Amino acid sequence: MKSSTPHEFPTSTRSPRSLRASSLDGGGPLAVSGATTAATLEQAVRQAGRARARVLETMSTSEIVEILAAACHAWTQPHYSPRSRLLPLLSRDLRLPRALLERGLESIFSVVTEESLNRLIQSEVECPEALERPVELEGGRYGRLLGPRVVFHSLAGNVPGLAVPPIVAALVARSICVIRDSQRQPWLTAAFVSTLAEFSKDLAAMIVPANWRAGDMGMEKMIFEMAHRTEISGSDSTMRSIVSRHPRRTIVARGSRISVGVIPRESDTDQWQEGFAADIVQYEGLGCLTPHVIFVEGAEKRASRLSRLLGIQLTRYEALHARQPRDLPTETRRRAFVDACEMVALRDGGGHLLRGRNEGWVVHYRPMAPAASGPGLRCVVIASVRDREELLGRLAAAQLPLAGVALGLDSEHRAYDELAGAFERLGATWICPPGQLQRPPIEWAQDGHRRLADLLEWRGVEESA
Amino acid sequence: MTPDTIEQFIDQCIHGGPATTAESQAAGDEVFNRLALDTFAYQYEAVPIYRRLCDLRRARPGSVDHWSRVPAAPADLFKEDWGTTLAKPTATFLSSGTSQGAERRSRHAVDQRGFDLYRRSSLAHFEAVGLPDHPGPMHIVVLGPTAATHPMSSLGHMYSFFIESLAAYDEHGGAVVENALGAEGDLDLNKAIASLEEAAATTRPVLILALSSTLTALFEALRTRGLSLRLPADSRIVDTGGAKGGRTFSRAGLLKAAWRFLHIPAYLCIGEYGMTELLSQFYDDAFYSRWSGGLTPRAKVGPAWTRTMVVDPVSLTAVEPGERGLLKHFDLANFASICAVQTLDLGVKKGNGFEVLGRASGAETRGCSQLMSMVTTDGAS
Repeated sequence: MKSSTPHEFPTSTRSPRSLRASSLDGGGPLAVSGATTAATLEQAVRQAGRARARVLETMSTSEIVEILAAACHAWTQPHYSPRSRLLPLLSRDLRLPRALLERGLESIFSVVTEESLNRLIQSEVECPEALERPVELEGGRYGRLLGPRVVFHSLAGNVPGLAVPPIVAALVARSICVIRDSQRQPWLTAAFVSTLAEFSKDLAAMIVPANWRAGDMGMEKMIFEMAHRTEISGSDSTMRSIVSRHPRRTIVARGSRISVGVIPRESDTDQWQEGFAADIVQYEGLGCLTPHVIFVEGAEKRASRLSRLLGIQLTRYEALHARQPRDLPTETRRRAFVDACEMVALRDGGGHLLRGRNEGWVVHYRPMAPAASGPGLRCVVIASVRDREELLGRLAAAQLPLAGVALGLDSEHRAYDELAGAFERLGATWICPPGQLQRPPIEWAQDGHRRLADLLEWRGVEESA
Repeated sequence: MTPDTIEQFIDQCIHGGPATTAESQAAGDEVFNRLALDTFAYQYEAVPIYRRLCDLRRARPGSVDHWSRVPAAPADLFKEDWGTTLAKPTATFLSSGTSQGAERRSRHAVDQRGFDLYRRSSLAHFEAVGLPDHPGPMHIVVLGPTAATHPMSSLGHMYSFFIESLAAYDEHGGAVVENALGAEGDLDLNKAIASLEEAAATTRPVLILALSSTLTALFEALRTRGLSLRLPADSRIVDTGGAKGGRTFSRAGLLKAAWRFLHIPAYLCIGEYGMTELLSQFYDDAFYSRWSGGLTPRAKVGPAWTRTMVVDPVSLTAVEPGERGLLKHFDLANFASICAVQTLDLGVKKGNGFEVLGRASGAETRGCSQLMSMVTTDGAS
């Protein structure tokens, strides 16, 4: 997926219908999901089933789209009470500076608009009207396009708002969506579902936020029997272990990915550092769309210069939004990375290592660096490549599958399409200018999985009922 | 600083000085601190790669006033090519390879003087902490490397020092030693068990020198064969500890099995923590503490010429007591290389020393784990 006009993300212009009535005034307590038990999950899914039946019967796609867009729009508003009350909790639990978290929430929710949802439906649904009523198929039969009755998402806790795209896709597909959030941040999904409930209790009931401790085999077995489709994200080892426990289930696993930055020779080095810095600090570089290595094509001095310019930008971030220390294993991984960079920098030709105050950020200019992931946490490597062939060669040899590329080149430039095409062939699913890497559109086909189309199946009239 | 000064200090500690870091600190830190700062100044000049590291961190000898603030070299620095820093290296110890491959081994060169000091200091600290009861000549069963089977292994040399110094001799003048681990990592459990059975029929205490994985293999073999041996009183086990790879029992499992299969109590199971990068070692003090009349919780203690800090991985400064962090060592026995070494081992201050909590995830597994893997693959177990 390429973004040609990435700086212009449309926002909803409609006022949410019932939002003015309660939520913006302060509302009730934040909805927080406690530990889910087998009984509460069963009950919630039963209720969700009844709500789904009513939605199937009565709600049009455009209504669902309107409600989703309105609910998301509410969460883009700085004065929206649930959002303002949730921010300190999220900031504390995710150890993200509040201002950067606000920026993150804006990115997460602002991409869900009526326009973007209609675009998603148009591009991924072969017969949009079949989402809301049976249509005549070949052979005189009637069928409807629907998602599975229950989909289950188990989300990682590194980045907030991962639940939003699955919720959107599930509701458009009329599926019940059970979402197990990371124990690190059980707040946001439940709060967003509360917002949805302001607009439609039935749609909100179809989303079941759940929360149980990792390794609860009873709950895991139950949800895998209940769900018709399962998507999990998290560390590779966690996912391997889950997949091995359910060999006969189809599981979409979203594991570790790498994203990179690229400044091709056609582009000026000095205009992208601000965008790269924004991508690096967002979510403290813990998501799959954080640039770990930035490749600069051309003379080595270009890459070296970018490293210094980036250092200046990261210093500004550090002054305004200092990085908050994380747990011991995470910080130790970062330490191991910094140590390794230090070792390389001590060798001849190992480049130079730039560090912020108290190592708040680390930029290692390392000409020969491969496309390898680092720890995030404001650590980045700047590599130099002689030409296109070397650039694509290093990306092809990436240690992990490629997710996103922040391409520092004007999208109108004649070389843009050729380069973007080459990155797509290497597996990149999100190509955008620096500064936009962490805000993929709702249509982003992460890992090549289309959010909506992959859910939908033709079902006979009796089956769909 | 001259190497003579350091050697004298270490020899003073060996001959009647404080036995452990804690005892040395209790007696005052001034001498150690002065020697440490002098050594830093010396190493800054003598080891170019270390000087570059210090410059990178903007730390110079004049700017540091305490050993705890001497820039610690990441243990990985020992994998880099240092060039020649010793006039006549006698031996180069290599780590057993890492999870990144055999070519990424730590190297630690010592000259004759350093090698002799390694012998004296490693033996002295083990005798002080592991043999405070002076059990006399022992029947030794080796389930780990020796200088003969693994000539590049510092642990192998240390086990050989122990054998040379502590082994009993039979009536024919031969040392009562059974080496069960071959040069290729092949573990002959039949040989080991036969030797243990033989020892069980005598009153001579047994010293088992092992890796955690070979010890696990031994206990599993004894269980399979339904054997439970009653080794003579004062028998003991030294193992390299940790589960850094390979198949090993948990620490508690090893202690339980030692009692069940060999009749060796937990306090005589002495875990060792060491690394190629350091010429000194750290031992569990459970027995030492009991022998000295103390009741401190089991911890790893180093010799008087070392200091260990638990540091925060972000700031690299000491954490509060009881908090977990990374282990940073200052070992004066490293006077010919680099004394301050920063590891990626997780630990916590405890009792008179520290407890090793494991290796940080994301860091390479190292040390004997590679040897253990070899044993698992090729061994007779």
